[in-house]
Amino acid sequence: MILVEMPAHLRQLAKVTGTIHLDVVGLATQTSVLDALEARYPMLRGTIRDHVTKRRRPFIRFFACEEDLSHNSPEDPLPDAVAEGREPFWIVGAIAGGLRDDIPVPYGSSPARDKSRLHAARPSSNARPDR
Amino acid sequence: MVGTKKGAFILTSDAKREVWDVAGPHFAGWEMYHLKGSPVDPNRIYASQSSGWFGQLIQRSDDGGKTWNPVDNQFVYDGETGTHQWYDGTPYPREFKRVWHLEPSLTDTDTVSAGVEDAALFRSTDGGKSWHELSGLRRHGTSNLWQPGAGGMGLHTIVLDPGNPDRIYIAISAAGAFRSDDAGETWILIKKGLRSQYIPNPEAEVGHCVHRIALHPARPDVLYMQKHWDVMRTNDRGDLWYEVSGNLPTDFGFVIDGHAHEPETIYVVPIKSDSEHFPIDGQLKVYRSKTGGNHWEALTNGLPQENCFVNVLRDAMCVDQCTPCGVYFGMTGGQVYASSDSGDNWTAMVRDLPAVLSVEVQTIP
Repeated sequence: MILVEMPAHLRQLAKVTGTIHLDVVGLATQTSVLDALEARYPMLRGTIRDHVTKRRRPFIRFFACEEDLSHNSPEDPLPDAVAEGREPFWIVGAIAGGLRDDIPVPYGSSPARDKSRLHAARPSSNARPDR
Repeated sequence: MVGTKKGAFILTSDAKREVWDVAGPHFAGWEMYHLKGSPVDPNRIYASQSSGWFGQLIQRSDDGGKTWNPVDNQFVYDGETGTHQWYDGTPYPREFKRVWHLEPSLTDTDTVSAGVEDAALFRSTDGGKSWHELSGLRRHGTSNLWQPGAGGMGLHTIVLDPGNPDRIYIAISAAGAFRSDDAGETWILIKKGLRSQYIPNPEAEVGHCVHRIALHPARPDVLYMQKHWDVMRTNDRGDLWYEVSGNLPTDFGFVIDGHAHEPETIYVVPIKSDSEHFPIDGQLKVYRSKTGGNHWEALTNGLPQENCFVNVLRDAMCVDQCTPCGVYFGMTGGQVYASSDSGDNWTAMVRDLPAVLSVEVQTIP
């Protein structure tokens, strides 16, 4: 049994509350957990990772056991505590700022873009999963 | 139906249109770029739900907006995606970002078109359960020269000809306007007559920043355009445009729409300039022409005439089908204004919503 925590927006979209309990077949990895999550909640497809490439969306982060796993290979085994259901796998919305492609701007009303202002998403040591 | 930067709201009134009930926010916290109901079945509403964190969703209601369910959100370009022109002139890979505009079919509840960024046209024929690209547009010979406007390279306008199901008009910032006469298979640029002083060649093939196009169902060969600067008109489906800015105090703006029952009556909201996106002197004025352009009258009754420094975005004006015609528009300051007498008098339906991205109205018998 894998425990998954999601941001409020995704919980509302999936019409769930609290921690999600997932049965994951085989090795617990980011890929296998997300496959199981999307199989149960198809409306989440495309919101956490790209439909086709399966790459994590830029402003989504994965945490577990107080570590940022976002840049690990999606096929790496998750920590034992996650695989054994003692710690949750956190899907977190990054704290992000600045003006860049991924930040929507009201069309027709934004200032001209200045590439010097394009900031990368901040890997959020400060990100606080909202419960 | 009001789409805002932080959710959607549904405002309801009786035929008098004096008192409005405000319901929402639906999808609180999400950017709701556009909501639009099917002309065939007003209970069927499609909504574009977007977030910089979680990407694009499409929501569908089958009960007039009381309940919603997500449908397919997979917008995959057909084949090679190719490049467009980046701000520095270099080729830049095309990438899907979001849906700006949804245009339900005039005849089939389950058919709906989606204008997306980076500019492309998608369609669903199963009520949003799946989407496919009408890739003839993106394969137009000029598409590698299309360039984003300040707000992105969005396909923001889709106009369906009620007299010819094969005819579609679209507009892209900042590429221009296109027409298809074969249901989206092939497209022609409709740019003759457009002059844009802000691009190196004012009469270039592409680069005209079209903000909005409006068509009156009773006279579908006539189109009106609010360009970046200039209000334009064509009498021949875009084969030749001519300017009808006339006595407007400024012809910069985003919205343009037509009266429901008078094909020669049109509305714009002039905005001071491309660098000052608010009404001149902080006085909010809708301008109405009853002559199809050139002669404009300011409509101010009920609108703020001081300290109004907010904008009206391109999808944020619409008209109802009542008599007299109702006119509606929303502002980036969260105000939504309504006139139930064709623009003579205005009232704020609501004042403190998040920034308004789109306004659409349904007239339900």
